[in-house]
Formats: sequence, structure tokens, C-alpha cells
Amino acid sequence: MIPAFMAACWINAGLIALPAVLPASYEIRVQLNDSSRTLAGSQQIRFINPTSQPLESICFHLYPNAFKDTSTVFCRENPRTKSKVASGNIARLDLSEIKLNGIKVQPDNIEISGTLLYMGLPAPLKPGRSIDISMNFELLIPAAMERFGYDSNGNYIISHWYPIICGYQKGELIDREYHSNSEFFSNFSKYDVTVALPADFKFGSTGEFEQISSNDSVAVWHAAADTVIDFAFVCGPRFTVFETDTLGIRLYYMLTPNGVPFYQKTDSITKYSLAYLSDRLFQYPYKNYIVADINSGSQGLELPGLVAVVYSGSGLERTAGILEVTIAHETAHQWFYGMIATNETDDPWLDEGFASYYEDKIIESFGEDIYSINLAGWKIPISSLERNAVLQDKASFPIDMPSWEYPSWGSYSGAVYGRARLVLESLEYFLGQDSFDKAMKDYAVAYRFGHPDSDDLRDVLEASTERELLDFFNMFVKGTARIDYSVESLEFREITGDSILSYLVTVHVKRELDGKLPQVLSVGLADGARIDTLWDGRAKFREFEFRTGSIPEFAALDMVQACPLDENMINNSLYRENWTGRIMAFEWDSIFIIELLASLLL
Amino acid sequence: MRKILKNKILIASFLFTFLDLLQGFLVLAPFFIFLRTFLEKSGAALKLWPFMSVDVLGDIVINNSGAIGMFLISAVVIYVVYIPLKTLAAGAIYGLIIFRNDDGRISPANAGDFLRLSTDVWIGFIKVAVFGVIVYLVALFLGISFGEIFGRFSKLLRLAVVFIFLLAGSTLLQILRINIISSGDISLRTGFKSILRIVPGSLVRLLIGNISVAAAGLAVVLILFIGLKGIKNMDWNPARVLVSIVLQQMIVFVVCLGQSIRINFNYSVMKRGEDDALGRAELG
Ligand SMILES: [Zn+2]
Repeated sequence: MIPAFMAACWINAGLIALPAVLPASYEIRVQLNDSSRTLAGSQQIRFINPTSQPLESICFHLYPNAFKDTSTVFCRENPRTKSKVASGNIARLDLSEIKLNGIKVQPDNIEISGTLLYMGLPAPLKPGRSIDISMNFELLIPAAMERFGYDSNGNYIISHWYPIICGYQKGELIDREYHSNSEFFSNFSKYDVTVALPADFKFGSTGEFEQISSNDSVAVWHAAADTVIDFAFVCGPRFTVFETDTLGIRLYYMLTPNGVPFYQKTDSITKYSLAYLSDRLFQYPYKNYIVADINSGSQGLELPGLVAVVYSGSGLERTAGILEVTIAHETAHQWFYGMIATNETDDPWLDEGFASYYEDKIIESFGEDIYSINLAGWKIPISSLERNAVLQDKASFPIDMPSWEYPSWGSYSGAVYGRARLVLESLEYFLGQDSFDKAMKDYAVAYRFGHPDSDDLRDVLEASTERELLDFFNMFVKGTARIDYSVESLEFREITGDSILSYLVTVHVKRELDGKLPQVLSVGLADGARIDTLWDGRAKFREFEFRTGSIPEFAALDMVQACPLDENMINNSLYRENWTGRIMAFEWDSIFIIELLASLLL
Repeated sequence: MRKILKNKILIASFLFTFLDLLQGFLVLAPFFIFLRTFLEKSGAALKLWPFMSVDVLGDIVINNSGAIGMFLISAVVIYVVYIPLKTLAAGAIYGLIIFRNDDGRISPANAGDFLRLSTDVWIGFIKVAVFGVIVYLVALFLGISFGEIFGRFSKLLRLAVVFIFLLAGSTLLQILRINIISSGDISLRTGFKSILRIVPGSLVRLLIGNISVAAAGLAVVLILFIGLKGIKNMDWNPARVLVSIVLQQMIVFVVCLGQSIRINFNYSVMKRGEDDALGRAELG
């Protein structure tokens, strides 16, 4: 479902439909003080009630205040951040001169709860009616941590930095505290931002930007962004900016000396990712896209039209494909977060899971084995290691759970990144590649500039594929079902009495765990033929009988290993022949390793 | 004379190789039995060549974590039981390398002497093995620290620095063992005393000799590794498996040969150093 206020006002701008009226438009004027690490200025917001009910109050996120002292929810949940804050690396967002329709708001009409600020309205705001809010604010910027700050180069990433109006989803206010594992949610808005910076600073932001004036000490930049869920910028003295184009999109790579040697890699994976996703989902609709080399406190960070990536300079960029994977992942977020703006706090799997799934798809088709550890020629695919780590966890938590309910970063990321990717790959297996791809495109187009939740996703997928998916979602999205199928036995006997020689092949298969997914049972025959049969996978045990013209070589479930959620692939096949020779070769390899180590110690 | 010496070194290398092979086999035997029971008829066995795929490894570990724990424990137990036996044999092989017929001391040709020698030095060798843990840790630490300094110029240099420190540690341990055998004194303190007396005068000779032998060994091992990799890059077939096993055992043998040559070399340096030291003492 598309929220009523948006459905009512779609306009058709070429290929891309944009909502004509946005619930908020921001006008922000700020100046950065590099020596005091502060950003001071004002913002004026025109806010339109996007719900169908009158509003008594308006709620703002003051995200930076999660780092104002160690008593915040964020710090209590995250010891690493807590110790940084305790050592004096703090952030703070202070507001003053708050006015509603030009009239100063009395302090008793303002209630602050953690990182949330509620502002009581003098009179209820009717649906579709607007109100003007203005305020001054000052932001104290920390050294890079938790998605914003300045890094060791003296460059800044300024994100989630101004008082942001809390978003509404299906008419409901999403006023969530800033938790350690949770990210963000807000509605599509319009921005007009002016930033004054030291004259030697480079600048890049959400939307379209240009320098409008400068003197010896200060340069003023103007940025405008339409239909974006947030506004962020990077700036600093140590960027080299490379500009190029792809698919009508202006690309900016803002690289530090660590990143400059990787210009070429950055360029090819960025262009490839944008093309891949534009093709699979819908065309990237904005004019600009920025990849900035800056430490935001994590390996990568997605922001509208702008991604932050750490170029460590440690050589990982060169070998394991970490750089490509990060850029692919954050670029996928432009869709799954930026344009299909799901609720990152309540349904984190809808952005992280999808970004992880598409990251994998992009990397797989981009270059052979680039995301792997190379041990003297033995390539270990990192995505296989990730799968092992997820399966090792035995589905302790469902993937569709509010971010703050996961007890740790490990359980959160294991579920919403790792397991969610495997669930989507298994869904792809369940629906078939073409059907899945079409359904994903239908979902993306249906919720372009919308705020879908898991049920909306299922509705679109069901409509697109004409398949019933409630069971699948209950087991693997909302639930913690696990999959393991096995071939228990393979027997055959000659059928006597026939004029031509034939055999009766009996295969016993078993569902070992609670998760149920249809399985293809393949029986390979000595004459090279193969019989494929579909089993619905529901019963605990099942016997299959085949009449064949030659003796069976093997029986296998999901032979091509397309279902990554199957926890044990070893029991998926049974051969008539013994593989002793193969196993012995492996045993000699293992002995050799021990032997070699021992010989070095003589 | 030289021919006999060379044969002795070859025999010692074969014996060392056999001891290591046995160690690998014994330590892994329980795991192999387990592996065969569930891989024998599975298609997963097709993913063991050229190396076990991460998926198969993952499936084994994830679904059998209890069993894997058991194998780790049993491997450690077997290792702990095997090492004293191996040390006993290693003492004998050191003796075989060191003692020359014209020394006028024990002749290793005599089986009884051989055995007596091993048991005599056994405790000393175990002491060296335990002390070896510290030596290698220190060597690794120093190697990495110094490698950090030289590593700025090239990665290869960094590896070379770590390698040289580990080689120095290994040489120190070999000299301790040699000292135990030639003096019959199993006390490490005596070992250090004689090292302090002899090594400073022969340091350059020791370094150059050990590094040359190790470098030559490394070169041969690298060539064999390239061959092994070539074979491993081809599809599985029994003949190729056989060739890969032979290449692997040749690699281990070359390493053991290098070790034997170094033991022999270090012994001759020590002996000469001792004569020099004695000479100096007499002069003084
Ligand atoms: Zn992400």
C-alpha cells in the first residue's frame, strides 16, 4: 500500500513518478567552525500533516544527543561508544529560538525524552494543513564515531545532524529512541541548504550543490534536494574530487590520499552497481551520486545520494574485494533505504537484508572470486564464510524484528544482514530466478518513494508471482525455522518378468528440521540419464519409487545447492559408489600440513 | 668417508620424514575415521579436490561441533603421547648424524649403543622441546618487530627478517641438542655455558651456513610447490593424486634433509669452535 497522502499526489515526471507534495520542506543555513568543531545556524521547516488525523504535537529526532553523555540509551547499549563518550568525545545538538508560525514556543510546550523532542501545537494541525517551524541550533561535532564526525584527515561527515521531524508510516508516528543497533526513518522531504565552510574545504552533499560565493577565508555552498529522506554532506580540506558520468548521473569520488590509488576500482564498481540496480529495480532518479572516502565510524555508511566508505590503506582494498563489496552494498542502499524507504528501526532486514542480497549479486556478476581470501592460490569465498557464520548461529532470532530487540550487534547483524540474505536467496530458489526478479522489480516500482513494511512486501510478491507466501514468511521471516533435508537410502532391484530389462529404484528422503521448502529430488542413472521429481518437502519422511532402464548412480536433493539455508549439504546426496579414493587424497593433504609443520621444528 | 657421511644424512632425513608422517597420521586418525563415515557416499566428497571447499568444511563444523571438539582433544592427547616417543627417536637420529666412526666414541652402527644413547639424552631433548616454545615465541616477536622496520622497504624483506629470526631460534635449539649428545650432559645450563664459550667466535660462520642451507632448501621446496600447485589445478584422477602425494612427501623430505645438513654443519662448527676455544685457553 502507498500511503494515501502520497497516492493522491503522484505526478508523472517522465519515467519516474514523484510525489508532488512532501510532508516537510527544510531551509537550513549553517556555518562550520573548524577550530571549535561546531556547526551553527538555523532552520525553517514547512510541515504538512501527512496523516488522516489531526496532530497535537510534532516530534523531532536530535540524533547527536545520543552522544552527549554516557547516560543515553545508545551509550548504555554500546560499551565501545560509551567509553569514547566517557573519554570526552561527545556530540551535542542544542536548540534555541524555537518558533511556530513566527510565535516563540514556551518551554512548557516542549518535552525532551532522550534523543526525541516533542513540541506541543497551539491548536491541532488538521490533515493536509501546514505549519511553519523555525529554530536556531548549534551542533558540537565529535571525532568520527557512529555514523558521523570528523576523521583523522580533518574531513567531516555530517549526517543525522539537524533536528529532523520524525517520520510517519501508515499514519503512525515513528518516534523511536536512537538505539545502538537502530538506524533511521523519516519521510521524503525537500531541502534547501546553505553551508559556509573554510575556503579551502571541498564539499559534496545529498542533492545538487554548487559554490555560490567565496572570499579568502569562507566559501558558501548551496545545495538543493527534492524527494529525499534525509540530507547529509561531507566536507574537508583533504579530499581530491574526481568527476565522471554514468547513465546520466554525475558521479563524484571524494578521495583522500589513501583512496586516490583506488580511483579506478571505485569508478568501475560504482558504475557497475548503479547500472545493475537501475536495470533490476528502476532507474536511479537523482542527478548526482557521491562516493566519499571518509571514516564515519563504520566500513561503509549509506546516506541519500552519498555514501561514505573507509579506504583503510591497509591493502584490503587490493586483495579481498572489501572495497567493491562496501560500495556495492551502500549503493544498493540507495534503493533499499533511500528510495524504497523502509523503516530501518522497526524492520531493519528490509534494507540491510536487501542491500546484502544485492551486494552479493552485484559482486558475483562483477568479477570472478573478487570477494575472497587468497591462501596461496586457494580462494576462500568470504560470502561462504558468512553463510557458515549465520548457520552456526542456528537461527536464534527471526530476521524481522525491531532493531533494538536484538541483544547485541552480533545477533542483529547475523540476522538482518547475514540470515536475511540467505532467506532472500532461498526465496529466489523457491520462486525461481525469473519469477523472483520480476517480483522484486514489481515491489521496487510499487514502493518507489514509499514506506513499505514486511506485509506490503509479501503482498506485492504474492500478487506478482501468484504464489502463496504466508507460510514462507511465517517460517523464515517472522519465525526461526531451519532447513535440512537428507537422502536416507537409495536401493534398487531388477524387475523380473518383463521382456526388456528394467529396475525399481527406491529412494527414502527425510526432512530433518522444522523448516519446509519444496525440494527437487534428482536420481542419476548409469546410462547418464537423470530423473528430476519435485517433492513438496512437507512430510517428515517420504518414499519415492522409479522404474528405470538402468541402475541408479546417485540420489540427490537440491543438487545445484540453490538453497543456502539448508544447513547440511553433505547429507543431501547419496551415491551408490564409495568415494574412498577422493577421501584418501584429502587425508594425505591433511597429513602433509601437519607433517610439514613438524618437520620445520626439528 | 664423505660418502658414508652423506648416506648418514640421507638416512637421517628419511627417518625424520617418517617420524613426521607418522605424527600427522596419528594426530588425524580419529578425524579420518569420522570423515569416512559420512563423506564416503556423499557428493560432498567431490568437493575435496583440490582443497576442501569452505561449504563442506562449514557443513562438517556446523553440524558436528561436538565431534570436532572431541577430535581436537584427541589430537592434543595423541600429540602429547607421541612427542616423547618422537623425541626419543630424534635423539638417536641426531646421534646418527653427529658421530663419525673415527671419533672413537659410540658407534651408532651398534644397535645397543644407539638405543642407550637415545635414552640417555631423552630427558635433555624433552627439556629442549619445552624450552623451544619460548625460543620460537621470542624469535617470532623479534622477527615481527624488526620486520616492521625493514618492512617499510619491501614485503619480501619483512618475511625474510622473520624467517631469519626463526632460523636463528631453530639453530640455537639444534646447538643445544648437539651439545647434549656430544657432551652427554642433559643440563640446559651446561648447554648455554658451552654456547657462550663457543658461539661468539663462530657466529658469522653459523649464520652464513644455516642461512645458505635454509635458502637452498627453500628454493627447492618452492619449485616442488609450484609443481604441486600445477597438479592441484588439474581435475581429479588417481594418477594425479599419486603425483601430488609424492610431491608433498618430497617437500617434507627436502625440509628434513635441510635440517639434517644443518645439524651436521652446526656440529662441525661447534666442534671446531671448541677446539679453537681450547686452543685459546691453552695459549692464555
Ligand atoms: Zn547496510
